[in-house]
Amino acid sequence: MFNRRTFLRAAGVCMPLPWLESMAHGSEAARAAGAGPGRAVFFMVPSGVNMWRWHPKEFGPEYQLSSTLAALEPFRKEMTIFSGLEHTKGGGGGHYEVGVWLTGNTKFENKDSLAIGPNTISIDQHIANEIGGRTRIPSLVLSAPGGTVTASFDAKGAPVSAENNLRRLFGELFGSPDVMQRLARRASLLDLVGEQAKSLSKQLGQSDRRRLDDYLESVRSVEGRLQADRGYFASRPLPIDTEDLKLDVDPQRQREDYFKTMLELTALALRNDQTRIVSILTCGSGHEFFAQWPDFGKMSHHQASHGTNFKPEEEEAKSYALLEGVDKWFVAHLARFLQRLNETQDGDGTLLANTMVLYGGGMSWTHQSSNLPMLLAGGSNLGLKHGSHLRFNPHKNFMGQLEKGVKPEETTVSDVLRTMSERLGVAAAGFGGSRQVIDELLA
Amino acid sequence: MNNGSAWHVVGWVAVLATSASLAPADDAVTFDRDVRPLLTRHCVKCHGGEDPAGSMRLDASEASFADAKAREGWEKVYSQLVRGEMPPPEMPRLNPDELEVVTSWIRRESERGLIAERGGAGRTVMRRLTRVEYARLLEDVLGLHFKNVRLNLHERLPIDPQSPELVNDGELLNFQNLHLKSYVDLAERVVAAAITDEPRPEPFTYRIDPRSLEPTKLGNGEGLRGQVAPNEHAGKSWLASVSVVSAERTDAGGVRMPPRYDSFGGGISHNAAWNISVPFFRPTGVLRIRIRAGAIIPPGEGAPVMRVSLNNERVNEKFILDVASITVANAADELRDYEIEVPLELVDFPYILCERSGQMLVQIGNEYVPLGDRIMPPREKGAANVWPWEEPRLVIDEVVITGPGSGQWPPELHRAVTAAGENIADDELRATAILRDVAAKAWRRPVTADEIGPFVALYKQRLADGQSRDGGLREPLVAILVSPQALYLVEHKAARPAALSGMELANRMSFFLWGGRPDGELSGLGISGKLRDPAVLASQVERMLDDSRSEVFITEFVTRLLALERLEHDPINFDLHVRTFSKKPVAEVRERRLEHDLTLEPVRYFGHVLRNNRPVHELIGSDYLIVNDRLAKYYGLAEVEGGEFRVVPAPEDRRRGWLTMAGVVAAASRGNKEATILRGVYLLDRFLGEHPGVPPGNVEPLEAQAKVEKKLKSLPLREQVALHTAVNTCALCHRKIDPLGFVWAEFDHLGKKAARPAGKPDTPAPVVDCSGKLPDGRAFADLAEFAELLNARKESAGSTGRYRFGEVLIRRLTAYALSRPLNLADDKLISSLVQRAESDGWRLREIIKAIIGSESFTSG
Repeated sequence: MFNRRTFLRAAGVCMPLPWLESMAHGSEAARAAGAGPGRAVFFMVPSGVNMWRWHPKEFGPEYQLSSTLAALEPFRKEMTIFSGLEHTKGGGGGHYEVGVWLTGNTKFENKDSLAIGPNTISIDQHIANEIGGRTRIPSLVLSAPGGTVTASFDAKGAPVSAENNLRRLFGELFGSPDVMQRLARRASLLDLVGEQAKSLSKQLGQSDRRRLDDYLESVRSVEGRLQADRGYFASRPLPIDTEDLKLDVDPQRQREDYFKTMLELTALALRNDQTRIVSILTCGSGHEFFAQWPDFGKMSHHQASHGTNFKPEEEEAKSYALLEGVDKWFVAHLARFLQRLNETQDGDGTLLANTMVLYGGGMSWTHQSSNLPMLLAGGSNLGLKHGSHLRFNPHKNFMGQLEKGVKPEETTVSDVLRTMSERLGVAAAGFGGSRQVIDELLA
Repeated sequence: MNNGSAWHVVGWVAVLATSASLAPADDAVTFDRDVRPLLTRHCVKCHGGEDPAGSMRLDASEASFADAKAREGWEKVYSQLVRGEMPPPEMPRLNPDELEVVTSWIRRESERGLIAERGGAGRTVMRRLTRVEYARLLEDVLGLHFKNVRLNLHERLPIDPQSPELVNDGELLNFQNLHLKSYVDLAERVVAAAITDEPRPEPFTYRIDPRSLEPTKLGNGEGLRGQVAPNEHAGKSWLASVSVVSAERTDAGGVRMPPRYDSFGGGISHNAAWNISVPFFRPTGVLRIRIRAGAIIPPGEGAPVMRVSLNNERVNEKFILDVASITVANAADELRDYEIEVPLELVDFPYILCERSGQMLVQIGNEYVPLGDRIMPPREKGAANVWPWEEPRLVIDEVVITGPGSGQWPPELHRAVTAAGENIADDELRATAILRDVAAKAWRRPVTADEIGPFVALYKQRLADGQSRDGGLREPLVAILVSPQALYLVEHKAARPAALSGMELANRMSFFLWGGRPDGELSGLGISGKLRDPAVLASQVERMLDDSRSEVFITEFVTRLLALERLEHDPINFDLHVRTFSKKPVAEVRERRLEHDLTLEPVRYFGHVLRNNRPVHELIGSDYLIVNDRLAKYYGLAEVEGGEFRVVPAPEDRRRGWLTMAGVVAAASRGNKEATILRGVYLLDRFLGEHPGVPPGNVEPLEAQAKVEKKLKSLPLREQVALHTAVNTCALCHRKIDPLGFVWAEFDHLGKKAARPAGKPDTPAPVVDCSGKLPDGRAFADLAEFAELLNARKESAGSTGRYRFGEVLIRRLTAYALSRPLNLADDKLISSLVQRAESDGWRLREIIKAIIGSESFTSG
């Protein structure tokens, strides 16, 4: 078999990108020559939206974009808007939304009110476990508060620590001043223990020597990974002008610049094929972190979200106005991000055609988890069909409050996640209770 | 490939006899002359040609014992011949002489093949430490011991491959691909925490006396609130704010706290807790929390559990980390100080969230849950809400929180690691002394100056790179800790089996009995070689078993032997939810604690037998139990107060030791209400010492079958089981398994006696048929007779002598001691150990001493 180490030796340290493509296999190998690899981005904005202005009024391909989503007009052929989506069991609402959105685990809740506790695996990690090894970074997990404020959970259900420091993220992607030094130090450490193993090996009997071989093999594979990193950083793959990137901005006080940079770095990471799976969470549900939005009103976002409670727009004008402002603010960032992917060439197509971007949240009306505001953009090269406003759970009204729960045959968020996963060649039957792949999305 | 069969026989016949290269020593019996004609006459008719029965081909012109697969195949032949399972009744049988020829030949060749494979010498393979042992080694070498806080470092390492029988099987403990990276990452992290070259952080000490707090309204009830200044600082920015929710004052001025769950009434809030919000500080070093506490325990209830946690105090981004859970049993008028040391770099807490909020919250609560079932009594209409139970109260009189910058600097941890270099001025000499000292601990043997040379060279390189005198130690220390000398139990092997060096022997002993490195005394005896003196060896075994570190052996051995880890891993429904005034979180904590105690009971029991050097037969038959208050309630015993395990007289139906412990029955039943076959497999495997065999892939469990076949479901259980095994042509194994499973018919899947029909308390409990038979045909009428059969001390006339529990236990202990599964070649050792045990009255300590004193253990 063609393994990575021999490859690295042959290629020296300066390798072309995407450098692991020849080792990709499975369904991707079956794709047309010249097509870029498939990628997925999960972009979550929690805490609910102004439901009067989020979903388009019409269904099917001939819909009018709602005022909130108006900025996405250039991409309407490249995206699908969902109405009536819920989680498998219909639950998963309230501030637990962040733990449910990518796991479909509606049982997720926590004794200590809102702390992050054990969960089930999230779809991005599920995909990364399978194909993450094909890129230098198996998956990127980002959020503005960082740490355990994340929508990503590992196989044991523990939150995957999210990166929030843009300077560090940049270092991870493109090297920091001391990265070569750091990698060199670790390399010398590995050299030393490798030598130890070799000299010890000489003193051992035949079968014990064989046992030490897998230690040496492990030393070599860690070294191989290290070599790849060193080669990667040494070759400086992108002439990035760091002047344009605002890496030292405070996520709370300079949030415009912060998200702009975060999404720019994400686009660069995808373009460079450093990673194919990204999960972005803006902040925890309840918006403590981004509580105040002075441009859109005086009250806090959380307060505004609580205030609405299915009321008509005119009765809670201030609350709805604030929500709408915030909704549009994030949609504008999404639009810029999609634009960036769309103008980037990748293989024979655009980066957007090779990247599925799931956008939205796990709350609609105050603390409700029915009719979730979600849309899927990009990925037309991955066998997705776009251009429509799809309606699920049609027996429910716009409020989604008439009947509790979802009918067994009904499409759920888990089905969306599964469909995305399987477009990347990673089986996800039954993920989060998924019952089907969404045919309406398939070309 | 022939994946369908458990042993790839077709393959191994083809692989050829490298063992032929071995010198033919006392070959009275040879394959060509003696064995092959017998096989041809009795076996080859079925087991020959291209498609042999059972994929077992015995017509090859040569026999190989060169690799494990081949030997396994021959061992199967051996055991089927010995048991008379082959040849089948319709074929001519071998007479005893012929049988002896074939079996002794298999035995000898198998042993030779094994020795040949192991480099011509050793009998055990060099094994890697398990991740638990490695984590313990790191803690021990670097002195990472913190009062009342468990680090669980092993959880950061990849899960070890293990066999279902043995936790430390050396053959399986290997490294995979990037595994070493996790070891390097962990070593880096602990070394970074141990070596400090930063300036001292701001010192502070908050002494919080509840008498200085103001009464106020908090939550649903009364509380206390106040601000406390640290000793070292003045100034507002250093004030800690303290609130105590739902606190009642004691006469002495302390604070009483009810359990957190109690939100029913009586002005008691469910979030009763001390909340101490300390201004954010640099999270490096050790945070010390000292709590002066006591307990008020009403009759029939247990002691409160003091839970201490860190919290970032961010609504909706809350992260709570429990750092300590301490059972407080001393009375409120005999207050005690409880120390909690939190190594900030070694616990996983997202400090960034605290940095942002500017606060670090320390929370103290009473996490008591009821020991037994509690059903809320119906309340009369219009009656006031009254909580019908009196609850244990946690009394706290004072809390002192001391920052990492207080006290000595650099911290004690740093001093201890670098102690060997004290008073050495020269950097290089100092580093040499320190590294050599740490390497000797981590590699568990004396280390020469030459050996440490490359590590000192790395240190010099780091100094040249500009690192500090202490900072430069980090990488060489990491390298020492992830070197193969640390990760493997290295034994130097000669061409022929030879006695281990004293230090190698010391290591084997300490990893067997303590799961860790030898201490000073054992090392000293190892280095001097005195340990090889049998009397010294025996007295060391005594000392080691008396030492509390032997808990590691007791726990690991018993837990795996009885598969007790299943209690936590299998989905077992205890239904406590409906029996705990319907509070889910309370039921969950209750269940966790119950599972824990059920797991612990067989372990403590074994510990008791071991400490008192009792005969092993007490493990499945005695008139006592070892329980605590929770288990006593579970078994319905009279008052047992306190959480510590103690000896109590066993009731009539719990006098078979392990066999009548609820945890054991539950582990065997795996959460299934109908578990006869699972129980049979478990008993055959764990108590009769015979591997039950692997079921073919297409077998449905009994329950699934019963669902499909309605007819099956309508039959009595015994007939269902009989049908099940018949339809799947699995009789060969199941005729052994099934008749055993009924022995536990009286117990439900939770190890409780099946209840009387509801609403009829006066009807006698239904009579349950618990009869069955052992695989060798001996019948038993019930559990008591079953245990007696297993416990037969001498081979009684008429029995075949197999299935003796004492021997099964000796086998398991020996496998654990040698870190490898036993094989035919070990039969001689086992029979000598059994003989020895018979003459020593089967006393457990003597058995362990005999294993350690055996040649297999003391030579490699």
